[in-house]
Amino acid sequence: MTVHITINGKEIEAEKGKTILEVARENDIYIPTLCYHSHLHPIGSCRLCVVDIEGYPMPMAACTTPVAEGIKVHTNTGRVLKMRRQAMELILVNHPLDCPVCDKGGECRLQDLAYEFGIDEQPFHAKKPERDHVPFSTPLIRQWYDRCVLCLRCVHVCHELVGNAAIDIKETGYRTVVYPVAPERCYSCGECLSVCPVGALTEAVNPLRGRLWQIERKPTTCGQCGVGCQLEVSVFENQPVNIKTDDVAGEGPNYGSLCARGRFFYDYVGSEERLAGPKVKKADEWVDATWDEAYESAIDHLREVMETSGPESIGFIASSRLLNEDLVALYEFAKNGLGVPNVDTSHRLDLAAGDGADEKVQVVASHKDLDSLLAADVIVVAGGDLDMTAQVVANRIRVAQRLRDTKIIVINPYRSRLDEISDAILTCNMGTEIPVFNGLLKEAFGENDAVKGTTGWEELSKQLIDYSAEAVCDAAQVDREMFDKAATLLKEAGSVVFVRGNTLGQAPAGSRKIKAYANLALACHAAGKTIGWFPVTAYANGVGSRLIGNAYGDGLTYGEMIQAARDGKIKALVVVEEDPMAALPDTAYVKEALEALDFLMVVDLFETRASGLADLLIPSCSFMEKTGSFVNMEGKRREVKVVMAPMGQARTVGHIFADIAAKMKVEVDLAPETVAGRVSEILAKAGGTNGGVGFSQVTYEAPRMEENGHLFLVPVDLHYNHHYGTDDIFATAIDKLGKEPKFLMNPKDAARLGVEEGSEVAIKTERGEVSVSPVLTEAVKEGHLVYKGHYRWSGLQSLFAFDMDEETKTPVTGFLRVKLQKP
Amino acid sequence: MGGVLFSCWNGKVVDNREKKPEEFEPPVDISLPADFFQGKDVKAFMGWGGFVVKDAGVSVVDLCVAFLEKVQEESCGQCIPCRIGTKVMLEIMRDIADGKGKKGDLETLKSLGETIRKSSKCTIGQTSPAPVIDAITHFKEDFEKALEGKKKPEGEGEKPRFVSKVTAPCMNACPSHLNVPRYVELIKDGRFLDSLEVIRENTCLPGVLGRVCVRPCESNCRRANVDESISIKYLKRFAADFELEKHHDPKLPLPTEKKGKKVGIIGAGPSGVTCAYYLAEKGYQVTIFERFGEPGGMSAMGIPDYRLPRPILRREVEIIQSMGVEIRYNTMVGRDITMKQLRDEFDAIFIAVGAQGSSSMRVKGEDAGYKGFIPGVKYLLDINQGRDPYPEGKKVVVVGGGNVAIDCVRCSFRIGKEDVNLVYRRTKKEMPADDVEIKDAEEEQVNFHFLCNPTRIIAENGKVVGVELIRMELGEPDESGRRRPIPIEGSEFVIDTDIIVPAIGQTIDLSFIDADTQLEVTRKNTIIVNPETMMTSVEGIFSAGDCVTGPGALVEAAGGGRTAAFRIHQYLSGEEVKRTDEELMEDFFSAIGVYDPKEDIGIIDGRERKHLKMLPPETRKYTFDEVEAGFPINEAIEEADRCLRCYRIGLVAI
Repeated sequence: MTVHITINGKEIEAEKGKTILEVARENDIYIPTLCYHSHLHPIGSCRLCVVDIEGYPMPMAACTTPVAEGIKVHTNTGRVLKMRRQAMELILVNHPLDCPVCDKGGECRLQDLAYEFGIDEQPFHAKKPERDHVPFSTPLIRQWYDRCVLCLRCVHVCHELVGNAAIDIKETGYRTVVYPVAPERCYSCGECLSVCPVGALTEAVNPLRGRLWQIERKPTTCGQCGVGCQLEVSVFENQPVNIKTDDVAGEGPNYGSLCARGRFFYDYVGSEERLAGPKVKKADEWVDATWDEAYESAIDHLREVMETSGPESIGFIASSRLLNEDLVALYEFAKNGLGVPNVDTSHRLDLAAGDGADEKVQVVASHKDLDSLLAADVIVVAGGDLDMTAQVVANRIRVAQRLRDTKIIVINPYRSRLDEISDAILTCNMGTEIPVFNGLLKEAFGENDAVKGTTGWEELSKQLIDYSAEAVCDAAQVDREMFDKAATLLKEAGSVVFVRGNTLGQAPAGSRKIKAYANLALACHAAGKTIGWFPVTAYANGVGSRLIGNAYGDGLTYGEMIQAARDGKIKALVVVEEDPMAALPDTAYVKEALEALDFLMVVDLFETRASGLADLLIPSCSFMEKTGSFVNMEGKRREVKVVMAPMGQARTVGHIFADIAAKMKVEVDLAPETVAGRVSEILAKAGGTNGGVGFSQVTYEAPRMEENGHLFLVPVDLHYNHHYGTDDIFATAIDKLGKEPKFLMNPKDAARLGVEEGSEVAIKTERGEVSVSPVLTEAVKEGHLVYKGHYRWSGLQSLFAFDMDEETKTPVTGFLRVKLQKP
Repeated sequence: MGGVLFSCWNGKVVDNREKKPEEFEPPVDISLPADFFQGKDVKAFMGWGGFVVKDAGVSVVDLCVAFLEKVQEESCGQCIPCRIGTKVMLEIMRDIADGKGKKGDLETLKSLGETIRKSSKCTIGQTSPAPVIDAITHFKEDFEKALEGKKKPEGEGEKPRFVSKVTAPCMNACPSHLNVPRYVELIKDGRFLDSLEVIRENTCLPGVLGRVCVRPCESNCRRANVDESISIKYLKRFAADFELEKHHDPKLPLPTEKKGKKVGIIGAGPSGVTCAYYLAEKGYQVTIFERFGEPGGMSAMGIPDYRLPRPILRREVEIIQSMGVEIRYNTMVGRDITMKQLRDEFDAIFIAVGAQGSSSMRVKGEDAGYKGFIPGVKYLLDINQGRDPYPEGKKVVVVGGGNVAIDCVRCSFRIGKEDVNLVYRRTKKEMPADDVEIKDAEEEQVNFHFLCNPTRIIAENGKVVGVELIRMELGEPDESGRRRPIPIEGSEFVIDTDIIVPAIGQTIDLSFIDADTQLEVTRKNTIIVNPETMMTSVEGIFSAGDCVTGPGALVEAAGGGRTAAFRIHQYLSGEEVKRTDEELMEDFFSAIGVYDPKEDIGIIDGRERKHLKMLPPETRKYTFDEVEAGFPINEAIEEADRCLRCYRIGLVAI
């Protein structure tokens, strides 16, 4: 529906429902604003956008007034100009004149407006309120009371988009102040900082600063997790000084949102800990080497192992945070050049658990990108606290619910932030996800003829016999009303989007859990619903590395290579930007394996735990120092662009292996154009070729609690720890946020086991023990010990046995049966 | 007492300053109540529309300072003109009052005031500068003298005490004085649980009132002057439903420390449970005696499930119980426990038994005990307990025009009655029932018989077989303002029916009170209470709700229960039992009127009110399932966004 209006005499056909401001902007008519932000519900606090409409005595705020048929808008009448000017003069009462030292100097909305209005004196005065400084809700942001204009964007973004509600306004009148009302809820995502139009909130992470005219700001794709957020890096003197999204806010999947890691963890790139140059180990000491010496060392060792034990005794383990181009060069070199069969990437640790199942659903899914969250009737999230693993996706879900009343189902063994807005919260016992998925499938679609006609139903239906709603709720300890509600929502929805969290695959039988979840999605599809399926991955290029890995064929997987090294079958390992000592279970086992190698070469930005055992250490580039692409969780190719020159002598992984190949005279073409062509070829083939949709058969064994005193340890990544202990542990933000792990348990278990809040207890497995001090909370289910933090700083890794998923060989890091003992 | 010296309201000035008292003209557009409280006269009033001065001793400059101080206190801080602008105005005004004013200050105040008035986000800023500008305009000399350091009064009697309060038309119209603009704004901002917390400050029955309130707020909504009123009731329901649907535990006020005193409440209806909630919050030990096995009183027994699903009511009562309130069901005072026992056991008693009897139609055959003659309240009571009171009967005639009558006809379809009729002695226009309810009943195909009244019940073998009706015509208006129905002689006719349900009014049954308890009642059997203390003629016994007011709206009974809780608290803590300043201001506002239906708001219209989705009449009429689905989230936000946030401030000098 359109309406006809005029703005300053210009005739405009406008869409009904839009505001005067939106229509004016679409037609290049300027109306000044300060509080308006296109991603937020209009706030209307600054009153700078007041306009006159003919025939109406009151001026109206253009940002909150919808257009109506026939209105004649005037944006610059004498009285609105006077009002705007007086509003500006009021804002400037007591506003400090510290622009020269304010972070926002040069890109401050208030500065622009004061200049625009030509305000050169302050006619109004009021006594400045005195108040004590209270730390902001996160140590990563500093709040400046005097600079605040109370536009309230920060408060609105925190409630509306992030759902944190950590900040709010306090007091009234001139004393009103933005206050951290619930700092414990703050996720340090910095959305508030990002929308602040002035310098009232400033970043307190990096001491390095550069003025707008001194820095260069370049767009790229975030190199942290697999969401693939678009951002801009500000670079000053070849150092990243901050991350912005203002100029890329119109681009998906993140539309200007970022999480704490994306926004604040960038400074590892400029860390002093970065490797300055190549090093070789001589008599157990690192010695600086030239590139030629380093390459020679690599070539000599690899040749030696090839000659003595054959290429099958060599392994390559690379990070899934590498670019597609890096990975193709590496695969070409290893597989086609050297004939080494064993190449794998760290997507094995999370995404790979869904190999097969993910593709099966994605082939039939009509929702291909994360924008489809805004088209779904129901969103199902299983396998992780999305606010910690992919907060930007959780933000989009909150937007969807506000715009469309989207219903949300969450299936997890612990409570998460998303539960707060969910319609069905299926908090199941650890390890009982399969019965929950099967039960929902049976309850919602068991009688649906189209579903019953799907390939594989006959076999599946036999298994489903045991999964009545009653039996499932009993086995999984799920609330029956919630279960019924979830089944009804799935049945009635026209469009369902599934988010497959990465922790689902990291527990025993991870691949089976994902298959059962995928069956539920396939049943929705068979029942005539449009579906979407989005696997979360901790790696910026998790999906790309899976596609490339598949294109180059099988060999030993990441974990199998470690096993083989321990068994003496793998003799040389090349580890690229990955740290098996930090990422894999059973640290002692991994250490033994690495120690048993004849040759260990590590390519990384930093020294790692594994590099301590290496013979050769070569410095590589961060995502900010190279050009290429990632494939994000939507399966979309996202451009990565150079924003700064490499630090020290660092070279890209593609460059390094091209050099080695050339020096080694290996017959592969690793010229950048050839590699780029090969990447395009591989990505073009991805998806769409998988035929025959049908249900997978999923067997299930209930997790056993062997003796009284055993608990299920459930690791929940803290958002800023959602990584595998590499690279961004060198970000200063981590130190500010604290690394202390937290253990949470149910008070009933505590009473049963005689544990008091704050007291030390030992958690034990066959592999070892770690001393912890649990916090008691009803939010944790009985029988569970929830762990929040990163393994790197808890020592928990040493408690795991070296287990892998039977089918996809994903190492088990997401589940542990532990015994609690008082010292 | 005495006339008004000066008044300026809505720009209409009456200046009596140069006149003799007997020549005083009355103020225009505003009329102040005679006194504020117990003979304390209002010396001056300043508020959203202007100001009034009665006592020449009041300094208008001081009045402005006090008013602007209140404005700063109430300014929510969410827009720049009001937050900073009124602060600047206040400081200038203070300087003027202290003799430190500067030349040009008055012009600055006027210019700034105009900007604040025209550009603020809500009506705190839009209305508050006006009276100050009016004062400067009409009491220019006083301000100029003050600027010269010669402010009055100079030793003229005692300084007035200022009492002020923020209100809004919707808030003031609500018997429970819910902070409507605030909770609607929080819904607009997507802060649904915060909204519910605000609602709970004034009522513990958000889900109930969100469904069945008669919504005086909506008929006092300023948005109606622009296009249509805000759907306030359903926004309240939305907030309550959100908590339930998203599985949140209610966020309740923490009870203050235990008081060690006990209050007994008779009746678990809206008034009783509300009183219990606010007493429990204050730390009293509360026990409710309820004669039925269900909470809710008339809200449970009188309102059918399709309007108010039972689980909603039960949950809200469970929340009250979770605060430590004990409810003894199936316990009838006078039968299972005596008034004396209650008086011995409890430090205070609150009677909230409602009006659960049915008024007599005064027609022949009414008392004959015919099968098929069922009084309205009993009819609903049976149906709400899952019983058809007379399964053999298939045709029903309900007599009356109120909500109970409408509930009776709409329920009749739902228990399988085939031919459902409503007889009312006036026309549809005069029906006291909610218009929406009448429309719903029409859609469900109830046969309406207007301008008729029963004269005789016809029975055979002790069973109703028909009713004789007489046609009526409308005469002159009676004391209720509605035209009086007059029977047309000789126009009697008979309609056949199996069931007659009189629903023409409710009576109060006070038979449980023993003779020793000397409770004074009116001729209509309502309990007499002192309006100031809400105490009955018996020390320590309080009462509110329908048993005091006669049959009324649920929200009035709930509001009465809440106020009674505050009075009981005053009584038990040894304070003087009286209305607070805040309540006095509410009464004062009601007396001068907060909502002006003729006000031109001056902004563009055309944002239609959102309506709830309803089950279609042909399916809903046979089921007790809730007829209306609540707002989806996006529609609730859109609806809340229409609110004009009509806060305003009034300040009296006494």
